[in-house]
Amino acid sequence: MFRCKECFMDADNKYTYTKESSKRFLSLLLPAQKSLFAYILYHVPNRNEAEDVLQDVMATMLTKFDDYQEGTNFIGWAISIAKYNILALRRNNKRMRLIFDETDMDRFQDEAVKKMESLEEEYELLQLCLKKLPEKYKRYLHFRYEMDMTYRQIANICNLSMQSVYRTIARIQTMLFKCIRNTQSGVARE
Amino acid sequence: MNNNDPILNELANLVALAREGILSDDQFESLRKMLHDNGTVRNYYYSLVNLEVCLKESTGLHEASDSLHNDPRDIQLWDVLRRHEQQAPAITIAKDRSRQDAIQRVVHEKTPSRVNKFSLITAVSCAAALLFLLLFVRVTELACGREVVTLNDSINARWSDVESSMTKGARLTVNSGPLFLQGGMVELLFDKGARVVIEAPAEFQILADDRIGLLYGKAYATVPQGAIGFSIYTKNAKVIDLGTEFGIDVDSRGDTCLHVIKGQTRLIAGEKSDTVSLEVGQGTAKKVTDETQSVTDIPCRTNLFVRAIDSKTSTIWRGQKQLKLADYVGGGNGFGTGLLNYGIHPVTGESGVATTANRPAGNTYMRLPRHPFVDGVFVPNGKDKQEISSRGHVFQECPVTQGNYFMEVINTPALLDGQVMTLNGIPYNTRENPCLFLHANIGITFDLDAIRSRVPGASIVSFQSQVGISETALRDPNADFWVLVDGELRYRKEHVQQKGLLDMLRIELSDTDRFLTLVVTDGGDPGARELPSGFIRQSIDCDWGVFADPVLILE
Repeated sequence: MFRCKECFMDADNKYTYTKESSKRFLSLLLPAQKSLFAYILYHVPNRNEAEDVLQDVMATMLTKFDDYQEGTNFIGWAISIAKYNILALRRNNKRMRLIFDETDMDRFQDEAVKKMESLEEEYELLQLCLKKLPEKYKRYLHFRYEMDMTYRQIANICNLSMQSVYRTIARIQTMLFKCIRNTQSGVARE
Repeated sequence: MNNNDPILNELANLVALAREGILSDDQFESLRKMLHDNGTVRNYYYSLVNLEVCLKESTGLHEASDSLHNDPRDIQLWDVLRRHEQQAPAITIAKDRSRQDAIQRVVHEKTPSRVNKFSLITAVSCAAALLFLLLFVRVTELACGREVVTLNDSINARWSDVESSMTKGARLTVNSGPLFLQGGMVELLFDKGARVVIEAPAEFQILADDRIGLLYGKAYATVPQGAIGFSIYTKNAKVIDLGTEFGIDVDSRGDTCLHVIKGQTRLIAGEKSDTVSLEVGQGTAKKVTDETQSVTDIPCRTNLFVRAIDSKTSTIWRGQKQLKLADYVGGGNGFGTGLLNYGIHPVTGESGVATTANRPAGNTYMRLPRHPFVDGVFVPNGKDKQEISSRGHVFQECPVTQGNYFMEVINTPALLDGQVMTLNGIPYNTRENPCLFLHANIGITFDLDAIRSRVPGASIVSFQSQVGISETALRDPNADFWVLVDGELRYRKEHVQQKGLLDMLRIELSDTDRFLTLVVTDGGDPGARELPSGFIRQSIDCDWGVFADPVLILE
């Protein structure tokens, strides 16, 4: 018997999916996408490669959605696919750099997953910290994260060297990181 | 945390480099080692990555880009689904035949669920297609506004988040954007008539049928009478057209600079109680500083903006006041892009390098419908009616000639008989000193309407040129010079037998003048005759007509 309970045979004895399973997949994926991307980015440091991996993982998840057991940990299932895909892609492309080798990926898996769980809270704290950030810094973030510009493109617009741009962005990230930590400590004290 | 600041800074720098794959091998190994050896550093690292993921999710990082913004998570997912749907085969698979055999049994046994991979892909692709359709419709409903602008033209335009629809002729809707032009330039034509040229890098948004938001970059607006009130909004200023042409430059600091080239605008700057509203007129410019919201005077720079583009002729007009007539003959766009020593054959109409030979010809007006700026060429003989434009204008005063010609109408010839064309001691054989060379008997007509269309908003007010027979002509000339506008004679000098500068021409032109014709004829000399030296002298011998630095003057 075909595994998917919601599949049915039409009069011509052909199998078709209902749109219900597609909706379900989407409803599970969208809230988890941020965490999934974080997991990938922990391991694949190059931004473009990480985005390619994300696309690849989502495609695999869609193909294998039938394997997912309803009610189980969706993000856990997604991560297992992500890990497999990352290692497979690395085997096919030796130039792709990974932060951790396979052994360390297993070793640090729990702490990575724990860190992913704090994403939502950090997102909320970030919005508060962004309000305090000077406008000129927000412009860099806008170019980098909303417009997806490279350092070189930002350097051209701002008439700076590429080195100045990435150092500035790194500095802004450090400022925001500290702000989030301080806000977290402040909330914890309360 | 302060004790760990240097580590955090170093980590942030290395991660920033890693994002674009520009870490050296040593740096990468250093990063890996830091993370492998130290749990605290790993924790910082995860936090930095989380921060980046959250930044990517954040919207409104820049105030002016706050409006319509798709959830970036959705975009990637839709892309996956769309590609999945495109790649999957578009067929359905009949159910497994082995089950049909089992029907013959009275009792069916459950078989293991071995799913045919092909059918699975098909089923998934159908689901994906349906899902994509559902999502696409939702997004389209959200995103669709009223179409109010056409992408009229572009030169080397490169967009970030390239969509296939962003080509010439594409229609843009209200709330289109923010659109990021990474390279080149585009011309937007609003349905109400305003024309805006945007030069990269720039980010902008269509706000209404008479309004555009400019986050940064350069924009030049040409607003006809019917579109008065057209506005450009920046983060700290609003500029409202009152019948004008103006340029706005928003730099990376967010400062807005307004340059009014023609007419009047109203500038509104500042916030709430500090709002400033003033009229800014032709030839003046103002700067609104983002940090202080102050408005200051600055020099008006008339050549700062691209005012018009034409991709067919690669024309980029920044408000230059002169168009080089000889350049058109060389295949250029009037700004010095044409080939030198290149011209148009008066009989065939073909463009090519100069060729020299005494040749007879009929006086048929060779129309050039495919040439962007030249209406036609001809060899005048005066015996038959001489047509000089595609609208049938006639050169009534055309003198009788021998009906022979020697070479093409040439943009800045290199050498003729080893000589450089010279007037008043100045050689005219370079791009800086060009000339239009008309060796008798020959004529050429330029289409002023076609030229005007490439410089919208400008008027061609005159044709100016030095004229004469090159001082380097080897023997004595005898030639006639003629200039006509729409068949009407505006300049005439016959039987010019002196070499050198003859006149400084200035022919006034109006917006209704269409065709400018230049002709050089042979002075009425007889046909081939033998000189005492034995040299066979043709009627056109050394009739080296030079229009030196011929230009159309714009206002």
